[in-house]
Amino acid sequence: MNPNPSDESPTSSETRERFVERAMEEFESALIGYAATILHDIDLARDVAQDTFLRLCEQEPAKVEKQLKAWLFTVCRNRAFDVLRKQRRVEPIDEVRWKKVAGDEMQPDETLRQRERLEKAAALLDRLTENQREVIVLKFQQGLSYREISEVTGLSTGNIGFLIHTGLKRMRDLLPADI
Amino acid sequence: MKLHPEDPRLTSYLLGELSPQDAELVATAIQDDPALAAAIAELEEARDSLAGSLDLGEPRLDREQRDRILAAARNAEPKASPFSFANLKPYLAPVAAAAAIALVAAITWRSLHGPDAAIGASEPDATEAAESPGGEAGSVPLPALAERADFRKPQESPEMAIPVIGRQSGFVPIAKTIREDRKLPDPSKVRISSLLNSYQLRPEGPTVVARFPVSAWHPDNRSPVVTTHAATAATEVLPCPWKPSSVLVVISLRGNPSVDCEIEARFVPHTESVRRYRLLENRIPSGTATPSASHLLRAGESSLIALEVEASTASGSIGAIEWSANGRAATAVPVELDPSREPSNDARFAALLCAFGLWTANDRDAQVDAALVAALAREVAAEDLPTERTDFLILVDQAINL
Repeated sequence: MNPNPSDESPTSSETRERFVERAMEEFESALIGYAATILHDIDLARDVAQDTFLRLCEQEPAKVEKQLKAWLFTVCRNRAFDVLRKQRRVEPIDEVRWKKVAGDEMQPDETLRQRERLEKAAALLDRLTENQREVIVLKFQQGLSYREISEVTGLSTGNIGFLIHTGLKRMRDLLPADI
Repeated sequence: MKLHPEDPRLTSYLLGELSPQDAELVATAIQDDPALAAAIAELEEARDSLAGSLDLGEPRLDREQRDRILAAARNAEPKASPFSFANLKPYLAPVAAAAAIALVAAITWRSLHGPDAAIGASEPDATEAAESPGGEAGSVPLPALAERADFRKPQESPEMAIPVIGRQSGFVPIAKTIREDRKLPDPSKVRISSLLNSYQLRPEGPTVVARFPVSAWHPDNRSPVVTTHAATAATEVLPCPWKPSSVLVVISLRGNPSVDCEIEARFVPHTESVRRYRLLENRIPSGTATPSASHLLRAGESSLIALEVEASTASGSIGAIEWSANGRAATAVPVELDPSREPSNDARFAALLCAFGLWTANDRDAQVDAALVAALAREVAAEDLPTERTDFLILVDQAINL
């Protein structure tokens, strides 16, 4: 009997590792950015992205490869909202997010810049409704198509078109003052 | 095409989300109307500014996180591998062998005494095992088979009878356990069919009305044969929330408001477009009497069930509901995949009920977790949700937080 399960099929194991590595290279930043706009916390967003890739490790590559992008964003979204829901039970979310966004310690330059960007984006997105915020982020930050957004959020493409249109109009009114 | 400057299609055009034909029409409209051209220019400016302000740079995982993920990928075992004696720890082999002998004995007993013969507490598993292809002793897939046996292949099960269930109150005891006892319900006590039929849900897909003749003459009908509405059958197909490669088929049977009706219905999958399918229902524990299938649909009641279908096609027909009302054959209701069609609110709520039932039952085929149930609950949440559905969402939240 083989004590190491991974030795049973070295080829498939190697393929899985390479598959996950490729997925990380392509989607790591996008998933962290997406989760950060939900959680307003770059460190928590990294944890969520890590969880998403750990879930990917459990999947058969052949089964998820065709819709990998939508799969990753869906898992990331669900995990981020799960974390957000747990946070809400502990303390009001606005206190959490702004405390995390502002940070209470000196940060290295790059981290500080990321936090500033996130703070600015969060302030802008807070002017939108929850649904508008979600589709706007997936469209303009992540570049997903209406159909991909539909797969991730479960909203209809017609509804997504309307939400993006109204969200963009709202941004059009706000941006000159914010940027 | 005449467009208003506030028309959402302008944004869709700007973002390249229109079909080529629609995009051409919108482009022409913009060319002909300076107000539209101005609106597009404003939207374009907002799009560019927004994209810039949402740019968070290129955040990366920590080195430890990356290493952890790659190690997990290296060590990941293939999921749901068929049971094999070769995979067993040595001290479990005798136990498995004994179980295999018991199973073979049970199958032999059934073959000798017919399908209705009692085999004690192991009857459901033995039944399921008997329907599956056998194998040599070294590769008899015992546990995996027991977990997966409620899936059927169209080649082996070309049709499946649809039970008529009627109004249920499955929500009440579950709510009591969660709210008062502060624990999740016993998986054996949760019935997906009971949950589904605790609510008035109507699929919005293809619908067929069956009529039957009545003896009474009606002034509006000069035909010698007077008919009245007997029952309605409807289907709706939506993506399966827990398995991207599958769909949920929600099937509803609704009766006449004032007259009982006998319904016989069955799902007939297309062998070329369906890999396997199953009725979504929690497994009845061993030793429990299986409820007999009823055909009686009481006046004013409806019956709802859901199927999980693994289709091999992305669109088109995957089967039909063949049915009869009071002994008269009705037109079959098609079951069709249409990726462009958005699920109705009722279908989404049905999907949430199914996911909740599978989660509480720890269904291994679905592998539904609390995060998925919470996500589905968020999808159906709306301000105008009926009170009883809002109450269920609150219950889901309470269950997840236990």
